[in-house]
Amino acid sequence: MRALAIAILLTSSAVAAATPDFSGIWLPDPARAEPWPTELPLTPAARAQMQAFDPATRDPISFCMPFGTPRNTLATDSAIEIIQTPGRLTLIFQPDLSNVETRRVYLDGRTLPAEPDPSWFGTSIGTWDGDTLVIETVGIETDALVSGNGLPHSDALRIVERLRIENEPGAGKVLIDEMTLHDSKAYTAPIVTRRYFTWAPNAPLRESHCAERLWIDKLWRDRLAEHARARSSTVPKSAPEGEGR
Amino acid sequence: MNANTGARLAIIAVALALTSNARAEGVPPMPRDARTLAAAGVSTGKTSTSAATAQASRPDFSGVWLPDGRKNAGQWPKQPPFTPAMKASRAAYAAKYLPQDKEVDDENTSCIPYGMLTTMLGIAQYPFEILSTPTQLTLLTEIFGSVRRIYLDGRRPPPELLPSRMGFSTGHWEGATLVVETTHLTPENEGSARPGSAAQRIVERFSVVPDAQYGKELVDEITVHDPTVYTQPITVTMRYKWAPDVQVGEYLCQQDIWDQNKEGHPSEIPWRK
Repeated sequence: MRALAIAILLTSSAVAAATPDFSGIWLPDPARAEPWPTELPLTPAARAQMQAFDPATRDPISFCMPFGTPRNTLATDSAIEIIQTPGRLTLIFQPDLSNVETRRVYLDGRTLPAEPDPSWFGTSIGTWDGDTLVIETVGIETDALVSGNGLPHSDALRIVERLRIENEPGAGKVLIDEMTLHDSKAYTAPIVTRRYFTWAPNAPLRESHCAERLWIDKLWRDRLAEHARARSSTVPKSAPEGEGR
Repeated sequence: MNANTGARLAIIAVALALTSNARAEGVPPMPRDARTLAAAGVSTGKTSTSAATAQASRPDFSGVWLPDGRKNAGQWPKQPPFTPAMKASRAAYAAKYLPQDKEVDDENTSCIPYGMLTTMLGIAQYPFEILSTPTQLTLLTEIFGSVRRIYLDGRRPPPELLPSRMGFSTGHWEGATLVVETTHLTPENEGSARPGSAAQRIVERFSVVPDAQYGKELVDEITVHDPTVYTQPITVTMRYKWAPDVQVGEYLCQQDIWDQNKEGHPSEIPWRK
């Protein structure tokens, strides 16, 4: 009987431990970000699109548009906050010089819609596989890039992520996101990559607004224009450049 | 060992498992303020002064809420009690800069998000979602896609914290009311509809009340303290409708610039020319 009780105890605590709490602030570890394979399995059209990529005119973040999913999760430049509530996992990204982005992952047993409305952060559900959360995401806006060097995707993109926490000696709690990108229209084979995040409960979460830099830029232009106007009204038109100062 | 002992052990095992489960979900021990209230003999529930009742009476703020435009309209005073100095600088500002070209001169039109006060005034009737954990309330707004965090874990602002549009908010419970204090707000100058200095302090009292039409409403009584701007605090009461069927959408403020660029012509936004 004691053995039975211990067995119940072990099973119960195993069940409790089987659904880890991802809540908290996590810092991506750029050193461990898995590089993309040198030969990406792209269809000819996707390859041509990637080769023609011009960040100045075709990168959404150059225009204060979102990173979008999965680029927000793959970027390694700023802390992310994860909030786990009943039936939900919410990931909040605050990349420097960009706007806040929020991914909502539903853990309430709903299924993915057959025809999801395209959105920049996608439609996500999660299910547990032991201590691993398996997140499936579809319906991602095709304007969103997968990476900053222009890796594209089609409306057929389906992302499968396996999230788990490992306790690593020296590093403490580490969140591992193993991501597989399936896209029958843009990729000839699934693309797999991994990101590692270290537990950083005291990392500061800074507010960031992309338009702020444009706004400051605008203020400076106004200031410069005003300065130029003031100068042209006080300096005679005939005066050579630089005189009168 | 007989069957009864075994059953008791199993019950203990289940109880232990439940305890460890509660711990895994981050349920904290009895909160400090509830203990304090109970110790002070303050009634926190209708029939009991126990801390457990106080905790049980706390409303659940989680879910999606929509500003109740009908009830919120006209709450903010048309003639706020500006200090004489603020009146003078507003007049000087108006003489120099008004009328404003909204398309060029308005920072929100230029995709800079609302601050905490304007967000909570719900002037633009966009929904927001609240995520609730024992240590933090998180507001996810549709407008500007902003995030506001209210810390319930007793922390203080870190030293040398920079101001931000959402500021730094901490909350504590007074019975079934969550009292939230916000500081470190980005100052708004005399040209703003609601100027705010670095000393601005906003106190909110959040509660949930039953509502015949929507099931329940979230009530936020907001008091703005800013002696360099107002001669006396301003208090308004905002209401938000329970909206379980509403989804908070993606807010893409710069969509037009992106679309224009995709169509091959540069932005028509005047200050980007």
